[in-house]
Amino acid sequence: MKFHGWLVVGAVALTAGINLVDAVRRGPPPPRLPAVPATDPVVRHEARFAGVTAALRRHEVRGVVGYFCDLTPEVLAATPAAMEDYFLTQFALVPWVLDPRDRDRPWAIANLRQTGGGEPLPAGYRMTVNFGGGVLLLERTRP
Amino acid sequence: MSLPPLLSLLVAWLLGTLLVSALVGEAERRPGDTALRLALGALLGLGVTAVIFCGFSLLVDRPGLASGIVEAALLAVLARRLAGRGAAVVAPAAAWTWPQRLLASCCAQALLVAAVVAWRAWAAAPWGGWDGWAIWNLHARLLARGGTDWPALLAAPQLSWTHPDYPRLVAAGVARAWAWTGAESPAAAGLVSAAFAAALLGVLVAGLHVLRGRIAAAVGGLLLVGTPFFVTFATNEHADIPFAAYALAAVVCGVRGWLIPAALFAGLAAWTKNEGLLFAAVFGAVLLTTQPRQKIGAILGALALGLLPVIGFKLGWAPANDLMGPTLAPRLAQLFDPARHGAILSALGRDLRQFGEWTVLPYFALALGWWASRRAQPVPRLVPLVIVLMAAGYYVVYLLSPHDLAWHLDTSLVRLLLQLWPLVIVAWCLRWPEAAATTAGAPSRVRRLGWWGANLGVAAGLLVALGGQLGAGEVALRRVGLGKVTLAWGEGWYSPESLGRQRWAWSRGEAQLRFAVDPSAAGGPQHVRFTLRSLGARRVAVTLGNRVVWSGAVAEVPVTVELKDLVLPEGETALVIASDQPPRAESAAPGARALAFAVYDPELR
Repeated sequence: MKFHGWLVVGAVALTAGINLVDAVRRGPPPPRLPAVPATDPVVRHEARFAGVTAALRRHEVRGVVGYFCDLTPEVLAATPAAMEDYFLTQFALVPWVLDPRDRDRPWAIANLRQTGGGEPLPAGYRMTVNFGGGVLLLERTRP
Repeated sequence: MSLPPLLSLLVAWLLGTLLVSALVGEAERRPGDTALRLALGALLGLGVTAVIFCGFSLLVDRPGLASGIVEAALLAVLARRLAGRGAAVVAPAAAWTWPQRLLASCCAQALLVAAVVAWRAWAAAPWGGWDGWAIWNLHARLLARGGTDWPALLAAPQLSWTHPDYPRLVAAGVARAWAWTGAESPAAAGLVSAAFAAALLGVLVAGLHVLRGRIAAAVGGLLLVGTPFFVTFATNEHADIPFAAYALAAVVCGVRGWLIPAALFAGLAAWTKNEGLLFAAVFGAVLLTTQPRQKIGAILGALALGLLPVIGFKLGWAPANDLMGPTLAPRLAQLFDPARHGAILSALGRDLRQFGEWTVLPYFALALGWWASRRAQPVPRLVPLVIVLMAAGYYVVYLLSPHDLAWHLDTSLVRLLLQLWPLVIVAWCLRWPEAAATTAGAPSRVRRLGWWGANLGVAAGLLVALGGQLGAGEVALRRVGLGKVTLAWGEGWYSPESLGRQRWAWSRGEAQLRFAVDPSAAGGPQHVRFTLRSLGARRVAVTLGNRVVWSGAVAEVPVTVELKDLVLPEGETALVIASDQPPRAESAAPGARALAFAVYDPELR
């Protein structure tokens, strides 16, 4: 191969090398001491809802369940952080489908951040399981 | 990492490689063909096993078992069929020259570093980026947990945000790995994601080796692994890299003359992402117009077979697509809206610079290559035609998009550019002149051993250097023999700050510095040194376990703290720092932080 060919090879290798070194600098290794709570929101949510799946199975809940948070459905839809919380909860609780709009489902999940579960329950529901941290499994008490 | 997900990938790889061999026959093999078959085999195997798994997931509650039986049967049939074939005639490879060896070494070391970066990216987000968990892994969970009801569950209007119309190859591939594992491990999802990226790189390097020789292959590989976005996205569990891999495999097979696998890969691209439907149409059209008439029937047949899963899914289960769902007619006027053209071109200009997350843009090197290869090989028409038509297709989709255009561009354009980037690299490298065969003899055994030894030494040095890098939240690291002692900010601190080489953190009150001690580093004496400062005078005490290891007066003037001969047990230990005064507001401004003391530049000696 001629000289200018090797010049191109050198330019590509140098470019790739600099880019990789900078990628190493920007992406530090995972901390040897794991952060508590985890820094990744998905991992945090998996831990937060770890017990709910088993409880839903135990109560033979199927299909769509209600979803309550600190916000009304309308405010939830307009609040990106709360919507992310809802999406993460849905990811954790698949195959149950969470419905934040329907307040009449026989079963519902409460994901309360601000009140920690001390707030009055949604009307018409009783608490079946309190998982702590504002996560509750609710059952409808009136038809 | 447990064995079952690795085993599931190995079975898919073996099945795919046998299938590729069965499809391309045993005509004369060029140098690099075996590696190309292996890389294509990984992609075909991942695609075919995902199709089988997805099919059984509609019929039985344990699709892993049923699909495993079918995979084993297919393996047996293919192995029996291929065993009857004679040995392939392999064209002799040219001898390696020393510059080629050096280049191969650079590639191998770059690949090692890239693998470490990709692993770190996975460790930071084990369930992937936003689309990774919210779309692809969520769909995989529905396949894994939903039983045969998953299509009905996914059709629920509450899940429309997960894009239930998206094709199922990646989700089924991940669900299959989970079925083999018996648990939904994020490591298995990350491994599937990495396998697609590795196969893409393999197809690119091996394909260029076959088509243009070793130097073009090495340069192409360096361009791809020197793209940080590709490396960090490799384990991000999205479907863009798998789609890019199938598109590249189709194009490389097309140029190589393996038309039936090419058409099958185009079909699998459509089973991976909706962009694949555009790709299958574009690629099919280009392939049909560039091939002799007598091959058209075989190409159409293979394309139809490859498209069968996605056609069945789209007609049988998938809801309307968010881009195609709303009526198209009112949006046709958008094609002629100058503001939309301007917005798309402006975003394209921005993202062409940014999408690779490069520090040094590779375009200068690419331009140098165009200049240097003015009288180079003609590039087969297939490659630039596919790139241009795909880009044009994406452009029209943006023009017709029913979404807010700025949002749509901001959330997708970089990924679309990444999808086409491997094809651009191949197009550029195909201009490279084929290396002339050399007659240099093989190097002596001593030289070969020396070369391997030097490479292994460099690789070990790189791993040691990478292992010495501080992780997020860590402030100091010391090697003790083969082990390490790490010091990190613990609880009680505001966000760490830095200026130049100086690092510090203010405490809210009582705060901790945490040690992590590897087993082989435990017990030995450690010296810790840092500087303390506080707002106003106070007494500060540093405690390890129940023992006060330092105490003294601290004020605005920094005080150096030296803790000598600390004996730290294996595992995690905390150094607790507390003061006798409450924290003080840093200023009179509303929302000012209440600060107790600051630790500057902690060191381990």
